[in-house]
Amino acid sequence: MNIIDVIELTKVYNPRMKKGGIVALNDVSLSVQRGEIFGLLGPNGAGKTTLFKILLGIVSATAGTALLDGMKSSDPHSREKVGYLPENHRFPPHLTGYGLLKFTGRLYGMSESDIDSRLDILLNMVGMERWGDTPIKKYSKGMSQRVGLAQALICDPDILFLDEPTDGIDPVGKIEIRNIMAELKNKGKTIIVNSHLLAEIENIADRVAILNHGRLIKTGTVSDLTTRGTQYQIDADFGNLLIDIPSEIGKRLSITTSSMVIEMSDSDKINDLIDLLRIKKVSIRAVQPLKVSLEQSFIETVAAEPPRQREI
Amino acid sequence: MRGLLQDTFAELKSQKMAWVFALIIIGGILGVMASGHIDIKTGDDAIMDAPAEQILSMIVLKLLSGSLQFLVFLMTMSTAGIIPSMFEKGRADFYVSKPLSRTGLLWDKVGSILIVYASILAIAGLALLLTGQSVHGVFEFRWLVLLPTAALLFAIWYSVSLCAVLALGSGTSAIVVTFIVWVMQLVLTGRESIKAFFDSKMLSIMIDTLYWIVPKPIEIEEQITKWALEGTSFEWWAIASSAAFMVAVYMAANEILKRRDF
Repeated sequence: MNIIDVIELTKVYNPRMKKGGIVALNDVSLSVQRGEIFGLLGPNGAGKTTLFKILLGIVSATAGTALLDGMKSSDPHSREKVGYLPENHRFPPHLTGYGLLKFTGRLYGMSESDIDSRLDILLNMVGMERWGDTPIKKYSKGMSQRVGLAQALICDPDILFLDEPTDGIDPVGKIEIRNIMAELKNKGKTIIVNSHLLAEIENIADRVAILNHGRLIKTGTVSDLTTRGTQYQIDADFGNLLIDIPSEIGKRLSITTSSMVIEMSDSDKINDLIDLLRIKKVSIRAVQPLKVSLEQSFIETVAAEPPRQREI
Repeated sequence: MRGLLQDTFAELKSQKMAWVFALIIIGGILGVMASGHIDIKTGDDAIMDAPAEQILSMIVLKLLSGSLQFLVFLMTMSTAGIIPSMFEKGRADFYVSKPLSRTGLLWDKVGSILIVYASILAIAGLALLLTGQSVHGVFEFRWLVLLPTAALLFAIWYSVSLCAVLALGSGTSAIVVTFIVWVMQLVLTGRESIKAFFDSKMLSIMIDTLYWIVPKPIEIEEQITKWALEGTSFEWWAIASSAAFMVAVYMAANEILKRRDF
């Protein structure tokens, strides 16, 4: 069941400019299912933050529809159970960590008792229990990011938007944040993450979308994006054997003494290939679809795109 | 007010300006106390033909009015940066992404600012009045009207500053625009002299129109102080037209905020 629906969404900044303005989003349609971790990828200026901002009512859409749990994102009620950690945030500096969480809870219209019951739990969760009474202006970037995550969770959100959540966080902290996200997912929360750290997204996201020049160019599971179609890697003791692969099975792309990469004409032909190798007395250790990292897949996808058309 | 009142108070406490306000209030109290040492001459040597108590009342009232006006001026300057800092890059997302309409967010914040700063004006005014009563024994209930008047004048000036901030985007530009409006209303207090000097019907219509539009804090303050001192009647239209201007400007500020992308 979809919790977020984006339908033909377009955003043009400064449309009255001579050249027609800057197209930040161009006819983007996607959906996010309840309870999944959804990664939003794209180079700088791809429109990721604009998409976040439209979904959170911070920016208005030029055309199209954005729905949060069935409600238009421009409706403030749609954000009652939505948490948000903005990128490069600057929380009110006169507040302490506790003060920020209390203030955020009040902005959500929560009762004082509800807020108080969550303060220590959340600060503990993000490892900031010792710093709750310290003014935010004295926090390091990493501490500020941690307390920012806590404020995003104060309303016990159903949907959590995280814009570069591990920015400024040390490696141990990154693992902690990843664990928090996994824990939230187990509780049925939906998380939409925007991050440049693709290895991180690869580890945690169920599905990802790649934006470029304001257009959605690819969407799918991490496995979909990292699997090279019908290419397979076979780990085996090939030794000096010269193996001819019949063209009806596929085409050999590379071979070493211990592995071979083959482009199958059809995925169903993999059994024929295994039979052929067994006939030739090859000892097979593993057969697996050839995978690339999400980063490699991302770079290839973006590189295949035409240059940006900023104006309409 | 969804925590915005507490936040505005916490913000004020964290600023050095709170100490400046405290110093002005203390200065006003000392001034009222010191006014008892003025050698008020009555009878043949007197400069003013009035009893000593009435002169003392006038001094206390002028000190009260002057202190409140100075506070209003400083408050207008110091609050000009509150809304821009709320909607600056990196902070606007925090506020605007909450389940509050922009109109609700703006009115809650503006209401919080008006409540906090009007409370300071009330504390300042009451402290000066209490000092006048306890040290010199001078007090009239109608002097209390200066307190809501000061709050109204702050609300009028803040409307100008707020609208300028939202339209132009910076606290500095808001102060400049507020200063321009202040100069306009000051110049327009001498509108009859200007009209007589130029003797142009067209100019006369323009000046009268402008006079009706621009708020009139100086006139309001003068009329109310005179009424507090002498109990004479005053013209409501100065307050009414200024209040109408204020409401219109607050509504314009709201429309600007509703249409803005952050």
